[in-house]
Amino acid sequence: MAEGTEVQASPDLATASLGRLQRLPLRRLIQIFLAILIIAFVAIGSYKTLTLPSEDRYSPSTWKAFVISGVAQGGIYALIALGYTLVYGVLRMINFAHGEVFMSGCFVSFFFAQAYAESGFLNRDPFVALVIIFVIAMLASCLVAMLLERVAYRPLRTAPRLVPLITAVGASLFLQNTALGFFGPETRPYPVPDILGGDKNWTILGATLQRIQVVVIMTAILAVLGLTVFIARTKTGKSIRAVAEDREIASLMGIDVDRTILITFALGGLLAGIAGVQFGMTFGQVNFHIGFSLGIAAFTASVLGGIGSIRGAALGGLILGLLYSVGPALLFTGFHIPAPFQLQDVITFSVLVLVLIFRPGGLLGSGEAEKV
Amino acid sequence: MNVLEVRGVSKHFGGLYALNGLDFVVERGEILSIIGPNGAGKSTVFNVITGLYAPDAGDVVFGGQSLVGLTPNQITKLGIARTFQTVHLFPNMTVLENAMVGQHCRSRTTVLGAVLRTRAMRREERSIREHAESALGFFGQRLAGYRQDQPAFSLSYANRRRLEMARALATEPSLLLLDEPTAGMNPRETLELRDHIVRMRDDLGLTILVIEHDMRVVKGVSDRVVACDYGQKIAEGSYEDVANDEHVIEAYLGTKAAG
Amino acid sequence: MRLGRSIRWIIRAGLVTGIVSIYLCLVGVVGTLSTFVVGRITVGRVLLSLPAILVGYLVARPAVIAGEVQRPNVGRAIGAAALAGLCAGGTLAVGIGIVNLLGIDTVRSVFIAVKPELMAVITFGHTGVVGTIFRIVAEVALAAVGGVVGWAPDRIRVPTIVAVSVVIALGLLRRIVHPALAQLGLRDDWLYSAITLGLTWIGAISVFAVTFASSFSWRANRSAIVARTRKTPATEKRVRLAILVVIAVVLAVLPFLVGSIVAQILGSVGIYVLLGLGLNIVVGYAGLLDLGYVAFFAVGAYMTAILTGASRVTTIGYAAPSFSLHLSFYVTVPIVVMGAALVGLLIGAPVLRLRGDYLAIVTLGFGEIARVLFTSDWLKGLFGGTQGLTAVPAAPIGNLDFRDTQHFYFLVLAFCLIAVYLSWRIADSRVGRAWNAMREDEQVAEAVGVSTVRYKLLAFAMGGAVGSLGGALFAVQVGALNNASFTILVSITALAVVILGGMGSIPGVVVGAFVLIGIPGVLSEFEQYRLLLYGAVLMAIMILRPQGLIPNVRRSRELEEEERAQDKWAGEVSGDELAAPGVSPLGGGAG
Repeated sequence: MAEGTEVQASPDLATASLGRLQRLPLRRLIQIFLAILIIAFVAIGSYKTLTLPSEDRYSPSTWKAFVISGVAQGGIYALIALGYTLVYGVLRMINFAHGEVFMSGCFVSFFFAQAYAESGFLNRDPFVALVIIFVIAMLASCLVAMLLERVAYRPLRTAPRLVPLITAVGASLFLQNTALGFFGPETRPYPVPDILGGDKNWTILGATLQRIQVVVIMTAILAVLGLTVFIARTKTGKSIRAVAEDREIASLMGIDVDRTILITFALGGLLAGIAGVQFGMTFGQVNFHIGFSLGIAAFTASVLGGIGSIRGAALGGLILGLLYSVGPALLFTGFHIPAPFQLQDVITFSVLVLVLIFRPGGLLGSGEAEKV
Repeated sequence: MNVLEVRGVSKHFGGLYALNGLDFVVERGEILSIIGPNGAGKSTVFNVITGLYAPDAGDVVFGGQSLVGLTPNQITKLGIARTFQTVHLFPNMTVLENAMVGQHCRSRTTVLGAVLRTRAMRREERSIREHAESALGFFGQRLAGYRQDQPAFSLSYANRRRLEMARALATEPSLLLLDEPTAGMNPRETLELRDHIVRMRDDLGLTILVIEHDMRVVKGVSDRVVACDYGQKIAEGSYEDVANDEHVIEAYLGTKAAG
Repeated sequence: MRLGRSIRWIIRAGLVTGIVSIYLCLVGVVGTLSTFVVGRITVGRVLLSLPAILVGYLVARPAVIAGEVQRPNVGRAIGAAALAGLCAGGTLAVGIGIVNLLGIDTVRSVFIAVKPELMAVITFGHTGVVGTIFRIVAEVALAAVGGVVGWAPDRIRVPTIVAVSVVIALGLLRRIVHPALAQLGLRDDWLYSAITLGLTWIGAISVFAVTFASSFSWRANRSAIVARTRKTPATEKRVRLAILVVIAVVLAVLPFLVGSIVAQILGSVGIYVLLGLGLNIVVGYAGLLDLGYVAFFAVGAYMTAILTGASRVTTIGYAAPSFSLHLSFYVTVPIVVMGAALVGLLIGAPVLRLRGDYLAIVTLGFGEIARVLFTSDWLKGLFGGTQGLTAVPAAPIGNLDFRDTQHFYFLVLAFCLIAVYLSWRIADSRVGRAWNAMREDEQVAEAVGVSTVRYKLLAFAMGGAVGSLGGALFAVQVGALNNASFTILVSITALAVVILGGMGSIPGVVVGAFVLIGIPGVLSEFEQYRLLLYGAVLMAIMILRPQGLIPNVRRSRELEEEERAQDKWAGEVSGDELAAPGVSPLGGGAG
């Protein structure tokens, strides 16, 4: 068991634990066949893309841009994925509506950002303005997350697993359409202060990054470190770990389980709020629907890295970001598939399925389906 | 004639060896009890035999065929049935339906037959029902009559255990694995169950493997006893032999008692 | 006589009610729903009044102490209700004050629903302090009315609720009732106002009186009537047969009764009945939460379109897909069904080992992959990309064209009946038993001889096959397919239908489809709030009544807590010995 640096919880997938050498020949064959197929596809696709005639080929600087944007996006995914992983750790449940928590932070902070942009405050005093915007986003997301827990999930703590999951789906739908009703269907442009403008770049280690990308990556790293320290060192962090291990025993030890779970949701909300602002400034837009696709992507990231593990969420986010930005270009262009970036989601979900088939515990998991 | 052979089976979880080269055989028509202190690996060996776990080493041979690598439902179809340490019924299905599920592996109707309600399907349903009722009837009136339509969760604890056994009987096994069948029962129920177990061997011709803690039951039903500790066999023989074996006493009570 | 609730609870309830009312205003339902229900009262006003009435009702309900109903005196009840109303009004007043302070336009830049019309509804057309006071008074009055109803004894309370519901329903469903009455040759200008298209006051009051009286006398004489009809198994059977005959007759004449526009809605209801029945097999019978059901819907629709000869829509006109046949719809259906079953196997195979949450997400992913693939540029040659396919032939039989909404209704009805029969028969068979066992405890089912691999795959295949029928019919109904029709919302709607009706319950699926598709369809104003409603319904059902409206008796027991507690108890009594620390071969109970 880990030394308490992460919320220790493995997915208790209902798999009869078959030893490595004893799997059914048929299943094993299919898995091997699948693995070969995929490796072949990836290899051939990449080869073909990299050996395209030079007019069609992507230049090295384009690839660099892909990679960097992938890393930056990955930072945003990681922040949201941390929320999923924390909640899964304590409740063994996927908070399907976490994407909407992220969206709330983004949207609410948008209005402040817009007001500041109009009044000029955003560019007069960008640091103060940004701090306020971030704080607003964090508060909004935090509030929504805590409301969710209190209203939708707490009454169902003891229900069979299907029930809270369906509730979460309902909550996600409800929150999305609430935002639609409140703010309307239009996509709003998220204001970016001039100092973080898209044309402002910093060159680090020979690579050119947009300033906003640097901000995103730095915050992601800080957030992961901060969270790790928090979980490992503070009393609240210990309670969270305890509740994640065994809720009943934790309550017998005097830990206020309800409060701990609420705090966990709040933590996830804070991080999602940060991600919300960063998303707005990176992509320059916000609408009621962004929670959905980002939620799925972030969840995939957390599973990819190993759900229940903080480092896993970070790693998963990074890998997913790269997959999203580099993947379609690398794999599909060679095959002359038109509009390869349309198929981003196909890559993401295929990765998710493959991870769950071959390594259900995630990359940082144990490699075998663990039983609780 | 050996019905079941467990040959050098090992199984570990993380760093802990639940089974460590366990070796024993079960002969046809006998009742073999497995005893041993908590954590000795007894339930694990059941899980290995029935295919829930695959052993890390060793083999399990049933009627000459290796069971390793087969799925639990395949093993049940071959003729091994089991009950669980903590009763695992289907709580919202009726008593009769629970028993009828046992007959699943002995029947064949598919979707087509179900939808078209063919004569074969109806005949099979009747047969399933009859087998289930007779399995339930093994326990007398307790699971018969109006009780059969009660949901399983409404049964008393002892009846639940009986239902689980009836469900196992309904699979028409040749080898029956009972995991602590009398746990939680009062003395009267325990004695009754002891007689039931013997009857299962005598009337139904079953070979039975029992994990038990209650020595009165072990003494009363066993033809042979195998004692385990730390995942290994430490003694084997008749009840008297095993009960007086010093290794066994040491395992249960500690060295001083053995000396 | 004591009140059932403490003062603190009442105040809190009032504040929450105020917040709920503000929410309803901000999300837009109050301002935009302007169908008239009765007289000059719009749906929006009704919705605005509901929270206050509801809180008054709940506050004044008699307490049940030690099994005895303690009814407080009416003054106290009304007082408590009024207090709650006051708190609600106060909260609303704060909201109104903020809007007045900041100015409507400022607020509207964030909350688009805050318009002068909305404020007029809230403050009864008066601005400033006067309007606010009006609102507060209104909240108190409404809560008091709710309080009276809540306080009243059952024999008055229940008929009142029934009567009010019927009045509101009739007010909203003019689109159905009016043509039906016209068909039957009855005049209804006393009932519906030709100007507002809502109920007239005379109509409303008469309907209320009649419904109240019927409900009242039914309650009084219910036991006698039921005793008379259920006397012997023979009479019970006859009653059941009579009910079935009535339903059959109604189904047969329905499209003609309600007119062709509403018949189209019925067609959509039927399609969702099919989707619901298919999903019911996967979720309700086999217990596999599939959030990507739209994949089967899409497979059914696109396969049908291509095999019956639809055309691609391109930017320059129509073209033939790269593979196209011109088979008859009725020859295509079996092919489509088999194709969907195959897709079901493909989807089921990777998810065999996955548990609840993971299964849901992965199936969601498959649904999204299906949508992306069908509408991608890559496969544009076959499926038409985002613009899709059009000119799907209308499944003709001889001269009969099934795109006519009333004929289509019968086509859908036929398929629904087949699906209902299939579901019913399978549930009550060896296959159904295996699914039940698998759903209750997968590992134990496997240990008892049920091949979970086979039955999971079977569930996906069958569920997919039925769902594809829905897709096939959809293609015929609409005649054109594009990316807007195959989003995750189809999956979620189907899920909501199954959940609302009751998982595993066939009549539940039908009711769920009527409520979730039929009602928003008829009340076309609600269309924009349909998804909001679905989300709220899913949450509410899971929290309040997880077994659904028409529960499958077996399922409803599953979802109640006590038997799980019982199993846990049984487990503790027997002593949970672990073979090795930290490892238990089987998790406890049916969870």
